[in-house]
Amino acid sequence: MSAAPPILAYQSLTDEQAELGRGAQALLTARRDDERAGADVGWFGIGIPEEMGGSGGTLGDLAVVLEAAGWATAATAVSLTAGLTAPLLAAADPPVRDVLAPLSAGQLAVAVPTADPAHVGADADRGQLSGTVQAIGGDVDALAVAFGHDGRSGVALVPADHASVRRSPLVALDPSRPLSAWQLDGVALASVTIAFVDGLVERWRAHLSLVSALDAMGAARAALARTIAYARDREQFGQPIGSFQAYKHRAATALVELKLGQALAFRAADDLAHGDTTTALAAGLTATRSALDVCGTAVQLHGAIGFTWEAGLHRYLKRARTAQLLADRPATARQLLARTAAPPATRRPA
Amino acid sequence: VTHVADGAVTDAFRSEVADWFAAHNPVGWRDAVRAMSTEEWLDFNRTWLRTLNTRGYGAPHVPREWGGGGYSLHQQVTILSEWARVDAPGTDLFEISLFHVPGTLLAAGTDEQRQRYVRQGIDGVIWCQGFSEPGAGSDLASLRTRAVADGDGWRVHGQKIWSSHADHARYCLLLARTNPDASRHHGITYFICDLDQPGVEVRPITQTTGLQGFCEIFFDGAHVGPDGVIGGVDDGWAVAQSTLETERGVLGLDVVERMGHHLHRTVQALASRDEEHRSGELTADEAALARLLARHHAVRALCGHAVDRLEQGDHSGGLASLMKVSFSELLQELADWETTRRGEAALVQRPPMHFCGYVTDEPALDWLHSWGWTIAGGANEIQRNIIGERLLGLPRQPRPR
Repeated sequence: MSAAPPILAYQSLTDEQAELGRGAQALLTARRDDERAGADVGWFGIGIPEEMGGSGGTLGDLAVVLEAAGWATAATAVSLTAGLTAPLLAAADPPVRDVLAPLSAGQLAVAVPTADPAHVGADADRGQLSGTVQAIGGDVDALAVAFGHDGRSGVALVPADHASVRRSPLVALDPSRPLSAWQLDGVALASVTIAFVDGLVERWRAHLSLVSALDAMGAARAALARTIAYARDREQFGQPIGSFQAYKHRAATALVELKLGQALAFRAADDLAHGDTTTALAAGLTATRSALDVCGTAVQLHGAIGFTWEAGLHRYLKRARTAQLLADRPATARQLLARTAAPPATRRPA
Repeated sequence: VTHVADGAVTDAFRSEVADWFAAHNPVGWRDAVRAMSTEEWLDFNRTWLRTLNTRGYGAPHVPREWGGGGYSLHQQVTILSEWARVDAPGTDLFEISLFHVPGTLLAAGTDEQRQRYVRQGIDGVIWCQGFSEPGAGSDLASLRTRAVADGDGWRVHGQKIWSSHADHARYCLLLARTNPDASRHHGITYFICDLDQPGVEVRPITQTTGLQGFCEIFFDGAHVGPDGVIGGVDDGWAVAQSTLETERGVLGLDVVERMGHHLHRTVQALASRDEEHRSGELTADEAALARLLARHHAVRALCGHAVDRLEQGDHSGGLASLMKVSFSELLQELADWETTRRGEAALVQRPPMHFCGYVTDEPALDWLHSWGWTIAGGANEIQRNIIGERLLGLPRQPRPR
C-alpha cells in the first residue's frame, strides 16, 4: 500500500502535536478495543491544568488525540471523559478538584448519554435521578448525567457500582464504540458527585459537538487514505481506476469535505478553549456530516469489496454515523442560531 | 494610518479599519447604482477606489512602494471582513488591475514595466485578461491567437473571449502563441497589449444576469512593442500559472466575508422575527439557515487555515483549489436558498444593477451570478482534476489520441 498523501493530515499542528498524534495512532491501533487505552499515559487529563490535578496542555493538544481515536476506530473512553466530562467539571462552581485528579490519572473513565443534555435527568428536582439512559461507554466507572435542580444545572457522576444503578450492554450499530443502558432507580443526588456549571447545556453541546467532529474527521481521514491507496493500485480497463475522471472527482470532493471539516474542527478546539462555543457547534452540525460523506464515498469507491465486513470500511462509516447522530441534531442547530444572534461579549479576533 | 510592523491583527487595527469603512461607505449605493449611466457608474467606481487608496485598502496586498497598502495576509482578511460588514461596494471593475497586474509584473515583469503600469493600475486604469478563446477554455494551452514578429515588436491576430470589463479596459494581459512548432505549453508568450489602437475590436457579451460583464476581443494585426513581453518569449505559460493561482484563492476571501455577514444579518432578522418559535420545533428555515451558517464556518476555517499556511511561508499551493470549490458551491447553495425564501417575489426582477459586489440584496441575481464563480478561474471540474492529481496523487487521465 502506498503512503498516504500528505494533504490528508491537518497541516497546522506544532511538531509536538504531530508527534503526539503519531504516538496516539500507534497506541490506539494496538489497543483498539481497550476503553482505557491512553489512560496510563496521561491523555485523560490533557487540557486540564496541572493545579487542578490534570496533565496540562491545551484543548488543541487533546484534539490531536481525539482525532487519532477516530482514525484508529478505537474504543477508548478518552473522548467523552477528557473531551466532555473533564472540561465541565473544571468549569464548575466550585470546581470539583477531588474528581479531576483521578479522572486525569485514568482511574475514572466515563460514559455519556447519547441524548441531548436537555432531555436527561429532567425530574431531578425531587433530588433523585431516575429513568433509563442510553450511553456511549461500556466497561467504565461512571455515567455523567446532566440534571436541573433548584433552578441550576449540573452534571452528576453516577458510579457504575451504585446500589440504585443497573447497567446492561447494548448491541451497537457501531462496533467500535461500546453502548450501554443505565437504569437509574432513584439515585439520590446526595449520594453521588455533582457539580453545578453555569451555561451547562450550551457547554455540553459545544464539547460534545467538538469531540464528535474530531472523532468523525479522524475516521474520514483513515477512510480516504485507504481509498486513495486502492485507487492507485486497483486496475480495470487496463488503467488504475483512480485515473478515471468520474472516480477522481468523487475523491476530490471527498478531500474538499475532509479539509473543510478538519479546518473547522481544529479551529473549534482553539475557539472553545477561549470560551467561544460558536465554531464547535458549527463543527457538530457540519464536520460530522462531511465525515459521513467521506466515509460513504470510501465504501462506494471500493466497489463490492468495500461492502464486505472483512474490508473494514464499515467501521469508518459507522463511526462517522455515531458522531453525526450525537452532534448533528436540532438542539445543536438551535444553539448555534441563538449564539450567533447573541455573540459573546468578547470575541477572539478572527 | 496605524501600520503594525509585524502584520499582526490587533484590536486597535480592527477597530480602526471598521471605523474607516463605517465612515466612508457610500450608504445607499446599491439603489444609487441602479439609476446610473455607464459613465456615471465608471466614475463612481473610480472615486470609490481613490477613497480606498487613501488607506491602502484598494490593493492591501501590494507593497506600499507600489501604491498598495502593504498589509499582511491576516490584516487583508480583517480589511475584507470589515469592508463586508458594512456592505460597502467592491472593486470588481479593477480586479485585473489590482490583483493580476501587480501579481504578474512584480514577480515576472521588468523594472520599466513595473514603474509604468503597477501604480497606474492601482490608481484606476482598467486592465482585462486575454486568456480564454472560443476553442481554448478549460484546455487553455490549446490557444491559437498568434503573435508574429514584426520589426522589433509583434503583430497579434486572433480572438479572445470571456474577458471581464474589456469594454472599459485600456490594457490587456494577453497570452498568444509565438512559436507554432513548439509543444503545447511552450511557444506561448505573455504580453501587455494596449487596447487603444487600430486592430483591436471589443464586443461586450450579455451574461445570464442580463448585465454585460465580459467581452470578446478581436485582434487583427494589433501591435505590441518589444517592451510588452512579460518574462521570456515563448515562456508565458509558466508566468500565467502563477496568475491563475491568485485568481483561485485570494479573490474568494472577499466573497467568503460577504457571505458571512449576510448570514449573520439573516440570523439576526430571523431571531427577532421568530421570537415565538424560539423554544418550539426548529422550523425548516431555521434548520436550513443553521446548516448554511455551519457550512460557512467550515469554509471560513479552511480559508483561515490556508492563510496561516501562506503566512508561514508554505507556498506549495493546492489549498487554493479547495477554497475555490468550497466557497463557490456554498455561494450557489446560499443564493438558491435565499431565492427560494423570497418565493413569488423572486419572480420579479428589479432594474438591473451595474455589478459592484457579491451577495447582494438581490438573491435571484446572486443566484444567477453564482455560476460565474463555479465556472470562472478554472471551472470546478478542472479544480477537481487538479485536486485529484496534484493533491491526492491520483494517476493522470489517459490522454485521448
